[in-house]
Amino acid sequence: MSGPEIVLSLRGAGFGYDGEAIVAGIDLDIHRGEVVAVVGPNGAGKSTLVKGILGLTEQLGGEVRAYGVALDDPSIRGRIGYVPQRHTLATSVRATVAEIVAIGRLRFRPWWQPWHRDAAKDRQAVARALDLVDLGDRAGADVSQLSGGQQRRVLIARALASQPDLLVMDEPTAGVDQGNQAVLGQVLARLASAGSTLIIVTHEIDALAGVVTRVVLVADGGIAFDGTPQAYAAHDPHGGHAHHPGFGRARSVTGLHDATAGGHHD
Amino acid sequence: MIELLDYGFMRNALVASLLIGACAPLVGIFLVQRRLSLIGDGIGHVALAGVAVGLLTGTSPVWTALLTAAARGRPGGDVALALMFYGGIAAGVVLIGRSPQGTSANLTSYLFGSITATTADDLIAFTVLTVLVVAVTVALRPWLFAVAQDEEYARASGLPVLGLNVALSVLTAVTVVVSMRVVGLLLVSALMIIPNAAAQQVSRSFAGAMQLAVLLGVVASVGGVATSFYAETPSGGTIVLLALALYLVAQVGARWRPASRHGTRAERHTHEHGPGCGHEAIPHGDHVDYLHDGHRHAPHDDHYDEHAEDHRHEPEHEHERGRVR
Repeated sequence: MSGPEIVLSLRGAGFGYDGEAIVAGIDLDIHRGEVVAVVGPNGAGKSTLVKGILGLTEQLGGEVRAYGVALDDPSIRGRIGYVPQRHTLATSVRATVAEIVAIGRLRFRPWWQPWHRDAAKDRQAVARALDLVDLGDRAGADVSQLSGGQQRRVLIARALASQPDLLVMDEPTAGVDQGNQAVLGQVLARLASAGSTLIIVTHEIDALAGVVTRVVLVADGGIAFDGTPQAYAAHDPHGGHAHHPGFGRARSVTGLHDATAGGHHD
Repeated sequence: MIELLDYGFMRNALVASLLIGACAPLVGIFLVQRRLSLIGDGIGHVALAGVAVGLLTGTSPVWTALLTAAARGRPGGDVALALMFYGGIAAGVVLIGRSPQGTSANLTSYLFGSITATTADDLIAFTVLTVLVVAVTVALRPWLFAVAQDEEYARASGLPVLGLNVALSVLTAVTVVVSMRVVGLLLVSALMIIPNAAAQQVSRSFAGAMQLAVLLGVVASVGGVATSFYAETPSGGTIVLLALALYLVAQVGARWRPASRHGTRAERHTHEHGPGCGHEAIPHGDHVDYLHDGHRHAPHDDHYDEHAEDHRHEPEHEHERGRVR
């Protein structure tokens, strides 16, 4: 296929823990500039899949290449940004927003080189990342004093500071109130319009409407649907009651999905 | 005052206390960050077995203690650690009892520290080791911070997580051993943790807290050794009590600081809070707060005040500011 460069390519890939595959036989090509929503019921393997892409879960078979390089090559690690599903950044010690975001810069700094050659460049990148998530005025704030929605944005800024070629986000909007969800939606739209390639695990595809260019439904340890948001809406118009002969197994679990996401669409 | 410098052993003890006062909190902040505040204590237990082996075989206890403390390896499960720690201290006590120099005074000096215990030979070893620990910790600080802050993210971004974890283990072990003469193996951990606990009360940033902890560690350590000389008290306990006093001062100081959450400006809003804005409304005295990410926003003129975390059922509100008139 011609068109945009393939950023990430999975061929028959499986991922899991302790030698046991949770998702298997995954074929997926992600192209530059795509904003892919990975949806599916709890326990279907969404997080296992994206953490596999990040090298955080065991790869069990198949082939995964990012920019043509096998995933276990350490040079590829830093190029994939990661926004984990976390509700808080606070640990038992103080840290400022800027200190957390600066962690994203470490990939440019070999650990055996303790002197800091690019301090000014790093500061600039941190400031730019914070501006992108509308937290430019909170750089010196203690992270534990931020709201949950703001802490999510700090996590996004940390990943942006690493200037990734591909950004993987695990549930960036989960548990965030509507006001902050709207802000997060704006941030994601800004990234998408800047040409970033995004993979977003989400339960709330409605919050990302207009940003997402492709929907991948993970169910029963495999990909049950892969297509445009419009096609996905037709396939599973919130209710999952439509009959799709090809998606018999998926439909049973999308029923579950509706139960867990309940109330959002009513 | 300078009288204490007339004694060779006091000069040794003061230099040693200066070194460990800086070194222990510097390494300790990463243990606090990982919620491993008690690990130094456990390593101290294990190191006693090493001291005993040193005394039995006639080698310097510092090096044998270092070997056992470092060989302890990565933190395992809770119970596994307990077995190792108790095994270490029990073996240490028994072996020291069997060794030619196994007096109870000797044992006590290892357990609780003694200003007369630091010999000139020890001091050279301590200085070399402490300078190494401080240099490595300062150099690796951004990476140690990153791994302790979010290990999963560190792995995802390709940082050498395993190597950094081993590095922190070794740094901790070395710190325990160089501190054992002055503070004692049972109180070593206190000097790694308490100055950090104090600094956390007043600082806002990691870097600031780390510097303050080092300062407080040095004050407690050198001050404690000097006090123990005049008061004729065991140095370890004196240092730790002084550190605790500094902690209390810091805590009281933090209370007096202005700018609690109440009355601070809340985050910028994409909308006005109001009936039906999607945020849970909570009657709060004479006005209504809106639940926003687990804390509350009270409309106040053109902005919102933070009204604390979600204490939905707190009975009394004595505050007067932040009202909607």
